[in-house]
Amino acid sequence: MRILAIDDSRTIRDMVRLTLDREGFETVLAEDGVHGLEVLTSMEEQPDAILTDVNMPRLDGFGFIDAVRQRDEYSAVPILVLTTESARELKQRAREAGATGWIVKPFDPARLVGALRTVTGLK
Amino acid sequence: MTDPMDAIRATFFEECGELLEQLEAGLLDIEAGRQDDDTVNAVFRAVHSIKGGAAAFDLGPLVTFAHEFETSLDRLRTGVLTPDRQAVALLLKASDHLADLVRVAANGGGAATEHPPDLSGLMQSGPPGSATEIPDDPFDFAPIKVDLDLPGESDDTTDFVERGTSWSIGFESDPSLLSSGNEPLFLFRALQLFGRLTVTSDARALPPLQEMDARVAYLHWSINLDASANDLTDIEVRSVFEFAEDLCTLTILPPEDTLGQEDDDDAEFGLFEPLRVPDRDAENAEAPEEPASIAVPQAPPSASGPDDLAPQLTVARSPSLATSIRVDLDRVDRLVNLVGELVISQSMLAQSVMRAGLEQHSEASAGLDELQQLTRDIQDSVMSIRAQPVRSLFQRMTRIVREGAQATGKTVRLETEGEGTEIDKTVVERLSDPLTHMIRNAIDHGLESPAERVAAGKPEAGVVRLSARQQSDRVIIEISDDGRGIDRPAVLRRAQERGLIPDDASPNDLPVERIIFMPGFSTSTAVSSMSGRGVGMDVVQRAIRDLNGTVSLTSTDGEGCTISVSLPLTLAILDGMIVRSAQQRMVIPLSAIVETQTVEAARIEPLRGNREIVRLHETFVPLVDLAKGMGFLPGVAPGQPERADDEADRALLFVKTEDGGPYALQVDAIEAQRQVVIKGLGDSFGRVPCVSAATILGDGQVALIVDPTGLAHMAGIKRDGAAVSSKEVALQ
Repeated sequence: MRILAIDDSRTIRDMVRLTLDREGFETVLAEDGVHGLEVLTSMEEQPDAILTDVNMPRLDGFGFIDAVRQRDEYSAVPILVLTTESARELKQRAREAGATGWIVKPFDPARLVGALRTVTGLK
Repeated sequence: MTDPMDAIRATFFEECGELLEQLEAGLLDIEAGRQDDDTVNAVFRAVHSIKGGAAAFDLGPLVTFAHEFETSLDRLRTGVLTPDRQAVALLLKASDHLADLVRVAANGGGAATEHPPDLSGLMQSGPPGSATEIPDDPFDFAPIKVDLDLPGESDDTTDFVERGTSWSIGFESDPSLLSSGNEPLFLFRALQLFGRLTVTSDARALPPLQEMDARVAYLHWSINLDASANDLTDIEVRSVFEFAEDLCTLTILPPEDTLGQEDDDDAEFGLFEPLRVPDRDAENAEAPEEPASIAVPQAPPSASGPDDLAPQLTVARSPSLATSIRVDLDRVDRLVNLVGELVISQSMLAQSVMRAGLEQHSEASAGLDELQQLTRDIQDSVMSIRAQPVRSLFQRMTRIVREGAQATGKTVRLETEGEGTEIDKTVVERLSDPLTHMIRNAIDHGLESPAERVAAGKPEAGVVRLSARQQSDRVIIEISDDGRGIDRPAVLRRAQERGLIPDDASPNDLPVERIIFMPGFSTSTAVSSMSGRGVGMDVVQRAIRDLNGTVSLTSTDGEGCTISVSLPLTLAILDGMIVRSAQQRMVIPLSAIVETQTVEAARIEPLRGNREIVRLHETFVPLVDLAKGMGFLPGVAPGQPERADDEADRALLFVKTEDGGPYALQVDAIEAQRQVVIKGLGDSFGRVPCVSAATILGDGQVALIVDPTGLAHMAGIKRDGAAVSSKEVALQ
């Protein structure tokens, strides 16, 4: 399974990678929304799911999800938001942008993996 | 094996350092009135990221304070808080405290050294009348691990009740379900982990084909789950729909509630051919006439578990962060060291080839030339890995200037130039203290008070300028101010008071530019709040010298002062002159050598006390015999020719020191100019005067690298050497 994970924090990126590596997932990382879009569009095969932070420079998570969903080929890619925020209105904004789900940081590795498996149809 | 979390923890603290720098730079920008949305957002994000990482490592105090700080910054971000002087000062304090907490956490916990600043002021200030509009903390942040966000968790009492296994689930999706990336089929697959599934779709809401929008979910589903375990809970079932719950109407009926319901078990799993995994378009386009039963296809077995996925690991991680990687400094240093060894063995090889008496244009020498070129290229490339722009260093100085201005009541503007200039990472780190001190000096002593400046016809705000540039293989860093310049008579007086120079010395004997660097000379006439910390320019000079650098100072009365620091691009390689003295080969740094001469013995003038001087252009300079200066006895090895007698020509290197004029270094022979790899003497030697390091020469022999300044001190010519000898010459 191939996951694109976007977070401006190197620490979180490392943690996500470690978590997903242990599951045998392939992880592709990006540092912010703009970078995420660049990486996404340059991937030969679509990722099975995308994980994204909300607060990021250049383009935040909402903007990123919005931009991804604008393109037909990515309209069905599951996108999980991984953030320290848990305010309802922010979740609502993410939902409106087209987020598939919301996971609060710090994340429980088993839960992150479980959520990824669920939204990708147990690939 | 080390725990990978340790590495991530190290990354976290390293990242914290960078984020704290960004935070401070941003706050200083805001203070300077240069705040735009980007700056404020960057500042907010820095604290936010620290909080996020800290929570992952369960660093309670750090999380708590970062959260409080972040809340204040969010008020700044949303415009509720005005960044006036007071507010920014408080935010800077908060950033200091945050740095403190990070440091404490990095060192394994304990209490912060200072009390946290009270940020409550930031929570109350704001434009008049706006206080009531402030929403409550919108971030109900708590470092919780899991946010299941499930309703009815507490009232689930069926957990331990033994019951049947047949669950009935109604799943009516909202039209927008699909546009969120939630795929019903995937949810069913997840449900299937709990047991056998029979899914019935209700396609009555499906519009005619031409009106159908592939992104809209039209189907409703009824699911019968025959759980393989009888202790399945409502929470477990519901958790499958966690992300979709707000986009559907979900009814979950546990087994006992379904008793008596028609057990629709005739749709035996396997009666139907597993459908191909339909993509969404196909799924929607397929319009079953009436509620139809389908068996959910199993996920392809080849991808059902991590083990099966293992081969995928070999897939190249294609476009991941390809532009830069982070490498542990130790690894780079090992590489630097190995390249050093390569340089050494290459030059050993060169000597062997030479000794073998091969022709100059033989293949071996040509190959060797090529190897030499390659080695040099590798060396340059490896060194450039360690190179870092001085930007972060310069940024830190902004803070020093700000504090300095506040402490002295002067108005100071910092101008920087050449922040992109790169220099060895170690040099960047070790420059921080000397630079801080020089900038404090410039503000405290160099710049006049605003009133004085106006009276002198200068702009009220003083300027401290920090520049960096590369000049061949050195980097020049200059700290200049547009202040009053050095008060020469005062410096002279002070030096005389302290007994550093003779009472009758005049500025011509020893320029004040040099007196300032003398140990024991404090530039401050009173212990001021800033630079009077007992640290003089001699300490600065020592620090710079430790980096194989030199410092010089020029001052123009009434116009200001410039301190110029010249540093080698790298600490690992040195251009040196290999000399022989008392059968020892030693290396003199090329940067210290002014010129080399072979001088007739007659040109050397003897002085009292067994000292000698020699004419260098228009002046006389003291002469030091390298072997004597270093403490080697001259000419003792049996079978060796006696060292140059008094009548023979002498090989002299005129070397300069950092705190005095040049002097002549007498050696037996000058052998060659070489690039040598600097090898530390090792801790067991401690600090050896007149030796800065050692190297391994081409023939495998160890040679000491001479510190000309230390040698001058040892030989007793010290800083006033030039003055004394010129006087004594005059007496003759």
